[in-house]
Amino acid sequence: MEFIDCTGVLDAKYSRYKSLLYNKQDIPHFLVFVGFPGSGRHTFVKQYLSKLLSCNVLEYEPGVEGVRDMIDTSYNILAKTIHLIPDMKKMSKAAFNALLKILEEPGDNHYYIAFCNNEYEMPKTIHSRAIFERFVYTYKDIEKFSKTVAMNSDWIPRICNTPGEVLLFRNIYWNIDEWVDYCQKVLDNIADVNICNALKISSKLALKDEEDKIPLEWFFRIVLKLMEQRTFTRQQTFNYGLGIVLDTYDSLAAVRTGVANKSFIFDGWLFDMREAMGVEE
Amino acid sequence: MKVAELKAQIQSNTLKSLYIFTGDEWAVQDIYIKQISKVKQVPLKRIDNISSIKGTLGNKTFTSSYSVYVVRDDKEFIREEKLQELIEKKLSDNIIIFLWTKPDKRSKFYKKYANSIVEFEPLAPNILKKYIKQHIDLSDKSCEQLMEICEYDYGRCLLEIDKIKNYMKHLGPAPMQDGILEKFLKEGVIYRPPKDVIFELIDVILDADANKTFNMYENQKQLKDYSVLGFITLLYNNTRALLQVQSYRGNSLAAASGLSQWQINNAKKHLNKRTNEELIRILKLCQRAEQGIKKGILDEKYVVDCLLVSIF
Repeated sequence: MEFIDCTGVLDAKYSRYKSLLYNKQDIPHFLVFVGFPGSGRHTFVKQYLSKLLSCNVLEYEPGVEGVRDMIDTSYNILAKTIHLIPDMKKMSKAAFNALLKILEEPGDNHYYIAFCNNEYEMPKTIHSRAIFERFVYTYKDIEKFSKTVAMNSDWIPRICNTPGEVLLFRNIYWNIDEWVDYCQKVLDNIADVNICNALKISSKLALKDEEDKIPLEWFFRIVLKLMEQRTFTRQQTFNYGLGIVLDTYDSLAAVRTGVANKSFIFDGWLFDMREAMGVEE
Repeated sequence: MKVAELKAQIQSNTLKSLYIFTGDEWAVQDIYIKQISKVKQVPLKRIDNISSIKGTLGNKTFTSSYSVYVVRDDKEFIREEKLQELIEKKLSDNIIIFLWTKPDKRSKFYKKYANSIVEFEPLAPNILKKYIKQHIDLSDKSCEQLMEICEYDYGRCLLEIDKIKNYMKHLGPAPMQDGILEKFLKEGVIYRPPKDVIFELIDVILDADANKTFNMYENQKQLKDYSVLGFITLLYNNTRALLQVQSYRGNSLAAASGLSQWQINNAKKHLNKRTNEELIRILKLCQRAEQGIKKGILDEKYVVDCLLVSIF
């Protein structure tokens, strides 16, 4: 995926590492890059860090075999190398124990970098040995990036957290305004229709991968943003609005685990929403 | 592109250079692949990836100049536009048939080659019957029974027919009779999945009959072998369909709910045995059970028991 760093986030990190080397200090041997997919971590390693250190980048699977492969390679290669594990979330206990071995005695010319979404999704023994580098983008960063890649809709910076997500809309999705209209209609009518029609809302959502419809995660993100700007009439109370927001956050978290059935999650959200809005079935 | 259009192209010998076959009917895809090779009078070659032939495409040999190449799920070809352009330039009279198991309709590859994609949907029952009768001499009733057991999957039907034929050879010369299929089912020659029993269990749950539910669950050994997640999904889908049918007040139920007539008829058998609230409760229990299993919080061994107790 192309990545144009007009936000300056990667450049700032690059300058910091460059100044370390300029002052004759070494870069830490074990780094954990924390950020969501699309935050430029791969780009930073392959296009910035590898050039700064003049070294190769080798990538490994996050399983035990991948880590053992990494250890063997570290002992056999003399040249400067960055060893990359791109998804720490998938690592098992055994894989973490194997990783600990190499972190106890890293080679002089070897750097170990791992990616994760959340710095607490690893054992404390690994956490204590890592130097964390966070890839975070502000609203302004995303707004600037989206204008650079000609995505001018106001909604893009409001629901996208990383430049990679903006590029997803540019390259694959395109139709953010249609999606927002649809989500608005859902929120306006969800309590007014009978349950049979309400369940049919899911026909416009991508509940299986590869469908050309609104992905469920984006649906929930848009709903949350719409709820932020929703005003309540006298009959509606703040509590019910808060209930809707909390239910949507729970559903979004369930989708992000990547394991639960999306149809079940959506239906559960639907029933909770109607209950929060006082609909009696 | 529809299958009928592909058939017309084969018959008129106006074939394209690249086809992408999708869908579950692998046996029908195979028939068309062989037919294409026969019509073009060139050999059929199955390859692991397209990169392996990019050097040899367009090279003529003494024996034959062109071929029909069949490749399955070559991710490199899907991803690399340069490889696609190279192959397009060099294809000439060769034909590539790309078998795509799980097509991603959002991908650039799908959109680029949309006109070359042929989806092989499940065959209609009357056509499937005709195809089966080409291979084995069965009465209409036995044909329908075989189709039902094989879940209307032509590939599976062919495998079972092959089994029957080989078994018949050992029995000696004897004509195929209706009773023989029953005999094979009893002796386990043809495997019958425990699907009927599972649907019966779901029916009694939706009828809110606690005694029958627990008796059936205890006494039917086949139910213990059924996948727990499969059971939860079946129960969920049937409950959801019932909720839609029960709550709808209007004339066009099929259009409003998106359910097929078969699903609607099935759901109508259980109308008003449970309130809408109870049905929603069952759906939420199924959701919690499914998430609990997948996150490793709940042990699969006990989930069905706990689910049934919670429902009643």
